Amino acid sequence: MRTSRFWQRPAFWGFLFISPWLVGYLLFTLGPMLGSLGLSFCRYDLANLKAVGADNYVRLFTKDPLFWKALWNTATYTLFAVPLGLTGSLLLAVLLNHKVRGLALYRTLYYIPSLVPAVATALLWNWVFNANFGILNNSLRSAGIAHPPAWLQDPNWALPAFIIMSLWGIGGGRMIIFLAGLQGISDSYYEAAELDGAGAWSKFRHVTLPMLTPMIFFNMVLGIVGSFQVFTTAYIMTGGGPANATLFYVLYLFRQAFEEFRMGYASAMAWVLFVILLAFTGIQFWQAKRWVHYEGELR
Amino acid sequence: MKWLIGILFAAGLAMLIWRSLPPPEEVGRTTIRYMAWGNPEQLDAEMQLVKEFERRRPDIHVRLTLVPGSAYYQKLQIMLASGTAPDVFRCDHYQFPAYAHRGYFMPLTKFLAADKDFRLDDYFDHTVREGMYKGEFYGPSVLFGSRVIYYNKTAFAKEGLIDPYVLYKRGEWTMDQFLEAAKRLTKYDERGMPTHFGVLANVLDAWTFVWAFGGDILTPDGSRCVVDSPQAVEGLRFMQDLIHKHHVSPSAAESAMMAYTFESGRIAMLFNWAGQAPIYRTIRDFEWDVAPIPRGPAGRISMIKGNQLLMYLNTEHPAEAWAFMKFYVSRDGEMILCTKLRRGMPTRKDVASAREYLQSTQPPFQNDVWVDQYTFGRELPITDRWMFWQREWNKEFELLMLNRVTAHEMARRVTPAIDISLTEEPW
Repeated sequence: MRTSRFWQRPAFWGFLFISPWLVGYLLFTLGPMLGSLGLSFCRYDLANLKAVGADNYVRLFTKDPLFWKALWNTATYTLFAVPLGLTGSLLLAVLLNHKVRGLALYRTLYYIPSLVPAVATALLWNWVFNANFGILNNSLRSAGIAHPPAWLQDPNWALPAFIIMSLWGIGGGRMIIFLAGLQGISDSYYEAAELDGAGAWSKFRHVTLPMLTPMIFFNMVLGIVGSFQVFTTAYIMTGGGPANATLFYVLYLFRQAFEEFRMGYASAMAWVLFVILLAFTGIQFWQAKRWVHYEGELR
Repeated sequence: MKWLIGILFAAGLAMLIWRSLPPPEEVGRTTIRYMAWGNPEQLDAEMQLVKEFERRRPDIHVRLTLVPGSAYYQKLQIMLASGTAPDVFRCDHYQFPAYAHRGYFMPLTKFLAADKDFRLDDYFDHTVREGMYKGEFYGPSVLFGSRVIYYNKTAFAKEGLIDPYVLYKRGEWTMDQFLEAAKRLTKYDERGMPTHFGVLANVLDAWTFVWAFGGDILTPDGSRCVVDSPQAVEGLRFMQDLIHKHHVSPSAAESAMMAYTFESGRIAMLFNWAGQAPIYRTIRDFEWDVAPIPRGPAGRISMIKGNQLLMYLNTEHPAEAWAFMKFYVSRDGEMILCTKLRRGMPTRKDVASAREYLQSTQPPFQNDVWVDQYTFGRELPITDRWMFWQREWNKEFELLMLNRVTAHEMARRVTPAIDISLTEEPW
């Protein structure tokens, strides 16, 4: 049998059609990534380049307290913001899955905050958290708390303020994914559960939640990755202060790269973050086998 | 169909040719690029200077690039590193030594030697010193400024207080008088909420207070931190007490989101730079002017600092770039900047003594205050390590202003940390 010429093979046309993306990926993603890996072993201030071996990594782990501070702030933020956000989005999706009048309007209203640009969101929340005139402290004073926290101006409350603010996005993409998941659950499961005498909580616990585990898993993976990269709001609202209380990892990385021009050091930070996220994601995928259920999956 | 494709092709080709032609204003002229940043008032000033220069030198076109201040140094650094920097650019003195250290600037010694019209003697010594790095002159200072007190004259008069300028002229404008005025100018409403504060200063003014009490933050050569001296601690404590003991200055929480501003009349005395004056000229509700920093136990000391006008090392048009720089700091250039537009302090002695400068028709009227800064003004010890120790300082200073640490604790903690930042190998 004669082998067809290469342009007659479907794979050739497949690669040809994805070549714009492929070229873009190689030039603008993979290339810079490998470049930054090389830079992470150099001292580079955009003027002078010098190979320093693993010095940047050694310094990160042994001599830079701000690296640990930034990592701690980011991990704490992630620890609270991701579960809170997931729970909030799920509950909102369950609420918006009920067939009530004006449902489309409610869904739109809850989705709108996620469309607000990050800069506008930051400015808005700056006012919400204003110690003297903010709506939050005014409400707390009305509720009888005479001396509410100074939030963004208090090193003890600035990070919790960012965690509270993370709830702003619960009505966005995550909620839409949960909503799609909820609408994909067949009524027959609920009918069967009802026949077995299940109440509302039992149905949610034993039908809804297991059927939504692929969406929970997906949102959790992306949520952790996103939380570790929190930057814009902190950059605008606090600049990492007060006293480094909101110095998040990517903000510190940005400062090293674009304010102090330590490109090698910043590249090392980026690769450490990459490894951390890879490890977290790997652990989640490994754990997922135990709690994520795919419909029709055979085990 | 074919004729349509032909027309489109021809149009595209024409567009390409048109785009590759120089704009009409550059035809037959040497174009130099000049980059600067600033508020709208400053940008207007830059444009007027460029326009006047082009009128005098029709053979040169200055392509002005205005970059927002927040992104200026990122852009400049990338342009310098990639060899695409403008021929002339402005650089704040905070950054000047760090860039000079990397060898990006054209030394101007040969231009000074060849140009009999330009004499460094015409300029105040402070401004010349700022443009030097390791014995070489790189750039004349522009937009020179001083930290002064902008004060609400109307509020002082209403409260029956003697005007700070009058006290200054009598030699009685002291820290005690300043504190007394701040207390009387701080007002509260019936619920006990502050409506007006006597004074607002920021992290930069720590230098002023520390100097006024006889201490220092760094050694004059910027090589070591000395803020743990009793005098320096006293200066920091005085500043902290303004907020937490005397309650004459807003805390960080109170001043967030610009709740108290000088323009709104809610701050009676504000520490700020000379360059802010054009912004305050829009104030219509009260009269204001400027007074020097009050005299402390160690005497009268103020902070002075400017920007440098620099030439890119690899410029293709050094003669034209020098002509523009020279005009910017010439008598005519400074007369536009300092008397017509009233931006900053003159760097030239002849402009500082000119009647047109001293007798203003718009506030501030007490312009001898600026000129006096050259007598008792002190330069910051800015070196190429300046940016690196600031992080340590800012963090501890924030804690001091939040009343989380005493001045003594802050000084004890921050001194060794800054010393490490100043001495360790760059990384």
